[in-house]
Amino acid sequence: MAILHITEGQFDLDLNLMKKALFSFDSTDTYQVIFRDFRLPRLFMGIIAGSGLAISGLLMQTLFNNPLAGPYILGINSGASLFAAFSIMTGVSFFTSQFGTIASSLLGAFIFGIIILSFSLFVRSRISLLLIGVMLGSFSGALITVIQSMSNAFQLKKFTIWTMGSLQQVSFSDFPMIILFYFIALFLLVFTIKPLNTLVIGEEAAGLLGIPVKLVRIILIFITAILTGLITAYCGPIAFVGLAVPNLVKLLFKTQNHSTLILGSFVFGILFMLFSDWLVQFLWSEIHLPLNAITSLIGAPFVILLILRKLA
Amino acid sequence: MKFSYVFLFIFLFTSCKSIIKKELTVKGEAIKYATNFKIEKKGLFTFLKIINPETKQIEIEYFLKKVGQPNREDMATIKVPIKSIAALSSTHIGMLNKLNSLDNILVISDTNYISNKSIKGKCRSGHIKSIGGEGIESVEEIIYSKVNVVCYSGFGKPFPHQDKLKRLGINCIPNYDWREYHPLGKAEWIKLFGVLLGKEKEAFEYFEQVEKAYNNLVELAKGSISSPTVFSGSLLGDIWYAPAGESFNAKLYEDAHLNYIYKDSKGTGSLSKSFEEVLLENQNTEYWLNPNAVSFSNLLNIQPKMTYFKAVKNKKVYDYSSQMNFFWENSAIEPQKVLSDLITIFHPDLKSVDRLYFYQQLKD
Amino acid sequence: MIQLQNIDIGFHEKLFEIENLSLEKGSVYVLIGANGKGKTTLLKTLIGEVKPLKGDVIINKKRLKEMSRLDKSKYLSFVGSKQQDVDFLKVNEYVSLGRVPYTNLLGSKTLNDTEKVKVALDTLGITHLQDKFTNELSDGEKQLAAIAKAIAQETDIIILDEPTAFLDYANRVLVLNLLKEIAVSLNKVVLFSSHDIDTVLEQEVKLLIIDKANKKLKSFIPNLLSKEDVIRMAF
Repeated sequence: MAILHITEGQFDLDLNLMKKALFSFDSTDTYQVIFRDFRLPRLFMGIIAGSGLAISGLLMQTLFNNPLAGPYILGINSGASLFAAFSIMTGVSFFTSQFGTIASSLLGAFIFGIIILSFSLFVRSRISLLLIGVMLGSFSGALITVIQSMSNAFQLKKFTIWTMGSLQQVSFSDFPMIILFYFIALFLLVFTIKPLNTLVIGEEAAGLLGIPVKLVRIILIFITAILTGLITAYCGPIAFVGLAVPNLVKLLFKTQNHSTLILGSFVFGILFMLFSDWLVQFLWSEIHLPLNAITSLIGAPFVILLILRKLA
Repeated sequence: MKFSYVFLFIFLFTSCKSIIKKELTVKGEAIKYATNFKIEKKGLFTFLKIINPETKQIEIEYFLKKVGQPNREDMATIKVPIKSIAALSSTHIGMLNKLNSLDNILVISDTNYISNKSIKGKCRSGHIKSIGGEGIESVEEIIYSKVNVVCYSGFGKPFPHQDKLKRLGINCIPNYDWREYHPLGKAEWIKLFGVLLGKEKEAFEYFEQVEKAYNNLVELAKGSISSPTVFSGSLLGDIWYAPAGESFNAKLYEDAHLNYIYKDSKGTGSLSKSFEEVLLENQNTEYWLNPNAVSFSNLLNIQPKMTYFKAVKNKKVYDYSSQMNFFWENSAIEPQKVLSDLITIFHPDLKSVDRLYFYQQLKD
Repeated sequence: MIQLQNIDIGFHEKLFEIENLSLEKGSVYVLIGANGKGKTTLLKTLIGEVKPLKGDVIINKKRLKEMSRLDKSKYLSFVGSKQQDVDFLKVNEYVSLGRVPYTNLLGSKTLNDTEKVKVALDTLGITHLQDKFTNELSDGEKQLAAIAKAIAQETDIIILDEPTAFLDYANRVLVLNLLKEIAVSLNKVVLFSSHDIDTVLEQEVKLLIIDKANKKLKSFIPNLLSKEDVIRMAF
């Protein structure tokens, strides 16, 4: 899939070119530039976003014992959206000149992540935490609406485009930081496998088996916040991957063993993401479809099937 | 005795006829470049016709009733000269400015887009009302101001609550200056304001000046030794929008004797391309116009990959974004100055003016 | 094993008190009381989820409230009256969750762990069900699986909340006998709450009754009370 993805574009690539672009980069050679700073970042971001969102979705689904939970359930990405809105739609020079949109939304994700984590330290029940997350999301949504009402048509369009999701806004130079945080999240993930397997039978039962539930909750939220915040900042809010993929994996592998589920979410998340973006490129000459349109068109029917199955 | 009466009669008759003829002659040359409106004269009666650029049909027609003329029941009537106007587009303000008719403006749309200082001052003091968008509150402001005419940018739909306004004696005129593809065609809309305000002569004279200056510059540009390659437009999300080959900007570039990269493309609007495509086609293009950024740091903040363009590396990028409002207000009615800018930038070999009116080279 | 002395049981206000009660290994205790009079609260207090309003629960000479979560999980196991419905969880895997307090950070099971799970399944007689998904089981089988999990957890104390509530008569007797077996042969404290007075009185179990009038917990050795006595005291 990766090879298919990276080669879909306006022209063909060959191996020599790729090697050159990576190791002896010549920025005046357009083909090299395109490979290194356009194709590669898209592939890279597709991998990070696909796996990151799928895994975050899985974590939230297990934490809340609800297959309809997704990575955005605690309102973490609403911080990124709010600050992206600030950056794109207001004339506040702090946001437009100092920071680009990406930096602003990283800041927003960070701030909201801290807020959620702080709440999870104090709040006892999961329901309360859920409600807080929903409220945070609504609150920032309301603020965004206010900002929108004060914006002109061009700014509105820019923001709307941001919400449509894109793997193409990331550059080669962004890689190190993304990789760093991604691996921090993955590292912590290892320690959550056993607690996750236990949480499957409920938080109360897990606690009685010796699992430090509060601590685990915090770690899970922390991991989700890092992944979701990072991905939303660089790509905008990408829909459905975090919701559909973990459920697909559970259906396919018919297990609750989280080692399998995490690995499965990783692989299928990437496949789903790369396929969707490949489709965007493939259809480009006919129609410029935004990324979220495709993930939703594929993901939504799937989620509906899931709900029907659950009700049956 | 009888003989003198006959002479008088013939004399009066012939002079009348020549008066009539003059009006008819004006009708013949009334509108030369603009395609979306017509001023027609039938005898002493003047008619204004607005043509929808999509359908190419007459969208609306007005009888411009002068003092003493009879009413007409069969079409909308505007009593001219009008006393007050709601000028809802920046370009209208620029045109009214050239006719010294800023005092007739009572309503504008958004104060954030005004460049003209006296208009801004009147907005602050409340003499001019702004309506922001075109929702229900805005219509109240228009009614309250009792303007004679509302000029708005047409989209093929009537102005909100147009009927209500008509009943109160306020006519809404859709302007399609923004859909003109010839720079002179856009400027020619000053004639519309001219006939509305009873300043027809001034409007026609002003336009003649602009026309002459513009066409002279076109001739001048043709004589340049080079025709630099230039690309235009910018990214919005993942899509790059560049003027298509038959668009307003493309005509401008052509008149400036520039080699615009997409000059052979079809369409009067924008081309939408992927960033990859644009980079492939323009990494080595010499100049970049209208990147929609105020500085290089602003540009690279929006999209760091812009640095790969040779034009960016050599800093050969020009834009008018640092004075957007000023540009939008004045460029429509002073196309010769825009053209002059392009010639100054791109044809240093020609003897052109030493200043730039709108465009600036991008700074860090 | 468990010492309860001068304890007030309640959530915010006192529901009843325990003057002096000792729960020994090898015995089965049945908790009887009217609804809302503190049965569930007592169970929650015993497993450490709720603190007594006065006094301490002492387990094996240690104060319950001072125990770490992990230690608690090695002394106490709990079985609810109904289990959460989970997709794709095999009975084997479910019972293996009882070993969680003993496995390493990654949750890998040793041969010892696997052995304990096997024994637990055998004890409950559900070895033949081990590869089925838990949500494919009948209510009775689910309850047996939950108890097997508690056995696999190897705790000295097993607390159950109305374990026979959703079972038919045959299963009720089966489970009660099983619990007695477990208490005696595995030498554990088994304590559960029940509304099923008839069946309980047929067994040789110690009764713990919440005396409604005196707001005290009273314990009785088997066969000392008639059904009328019980009802009068508790309800």
